[in-house]
Amino acid sequence: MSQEITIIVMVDVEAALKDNKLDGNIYLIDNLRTDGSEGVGTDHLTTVINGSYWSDGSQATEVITNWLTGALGSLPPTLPRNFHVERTKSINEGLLQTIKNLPARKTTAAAKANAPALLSDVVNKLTKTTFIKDPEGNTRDFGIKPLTVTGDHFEKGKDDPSEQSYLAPVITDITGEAVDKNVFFTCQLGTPVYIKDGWYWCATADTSKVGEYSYTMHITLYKLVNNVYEPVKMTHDAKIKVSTAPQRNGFTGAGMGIIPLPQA
Amino acid sequence: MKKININIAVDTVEALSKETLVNHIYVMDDSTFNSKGQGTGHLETTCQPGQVIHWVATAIDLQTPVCIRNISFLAPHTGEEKPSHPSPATCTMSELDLLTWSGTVPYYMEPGVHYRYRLELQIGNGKLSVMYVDTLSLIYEY
Repeated sequence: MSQEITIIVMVDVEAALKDNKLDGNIYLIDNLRTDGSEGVGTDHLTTVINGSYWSDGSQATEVITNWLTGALGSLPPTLPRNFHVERTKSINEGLLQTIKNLPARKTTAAAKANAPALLSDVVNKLTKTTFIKDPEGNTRDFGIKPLTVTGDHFEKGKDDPSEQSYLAPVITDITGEAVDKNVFFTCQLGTPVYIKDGWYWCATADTSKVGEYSYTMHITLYKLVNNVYEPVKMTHDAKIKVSTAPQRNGFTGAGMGIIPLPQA
Repeated sequence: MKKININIAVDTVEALSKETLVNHIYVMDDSTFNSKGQGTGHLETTCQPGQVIHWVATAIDLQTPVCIRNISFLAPHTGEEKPSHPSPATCTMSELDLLTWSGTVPYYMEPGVHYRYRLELQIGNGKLSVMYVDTLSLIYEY
């Protein structure tokens, strides 16, 4: 069985949203550089697909490719998937504690005078959770607070924008020449693996179709606008180079033969 | 006569970490003649002359594949390796992917003799990627 191919799609989300394009703001990394993949770590990747065939011409190797996305400057993808929810909860618990500690009646007049402002600030922070807009334009409650890259509450307009932990880019489709010509057979699969965030795109290749083919990744980034994560759709192209070689027998170097037992 | 499949399951990450195949390979066959040591690194495959044997290595990890690099037999009495087919000097995983390991048991196989063989596996292309064991064998019990 040949090496399963993984392509890491790393996006500098902040820069891509600013430039409104992925070119120059995306890094494509596969695990086949030693086999001849070109442009590994750049925005123009050509992945080699090594196929093989039997003596009757039929396909002998199944090559599988997986795409995994990541956002530069985000919380580590290895954190549990409920991290955002848990952090939102614990930040809110901290805020409630502040209310509990509000100046009691016996404190100074100044502290008493300050209390309503403090209370309103806490209430304001408590209710700060985000919404998410789906590609159809419907907005729904997301229930989590925007977080910084260190897991604290990110406050827009107050914190440095580069502190924001961006949501991971989402691949929504793989199209293009390689798919149209039936070289890539793509699908989206579910997985319990955290790093893949539950879903990932996968393709098997028909290695009898030798040659170079391009394909297009459809990638959605999320931009935080007034507490709503709004989808921003972008596309990016990459290539595959399919080759194939004949299978042969390890003992004879050609077809079937006898097992080379020594004479006793 | 039924073909015999010998499947070598390799705990590739353990083998690379401990730098040995010992205790990290699980070898089993589907011979109808009751082979001994099924599921261990000491499988004695019981076969008969004329029978086809087919070896396949499978990694117990999706991202760390393994290939058979060579299968060579040791002299039955002295235990000396008689490289019937010497191990290739350099071979990348993608070249090894093109090899299939099967053959017919020759008619000169003597009954009751353990034909031990050296199984060389390769995991990736690094310096310590090639490892072997001498503990597997074929035997013709009549």
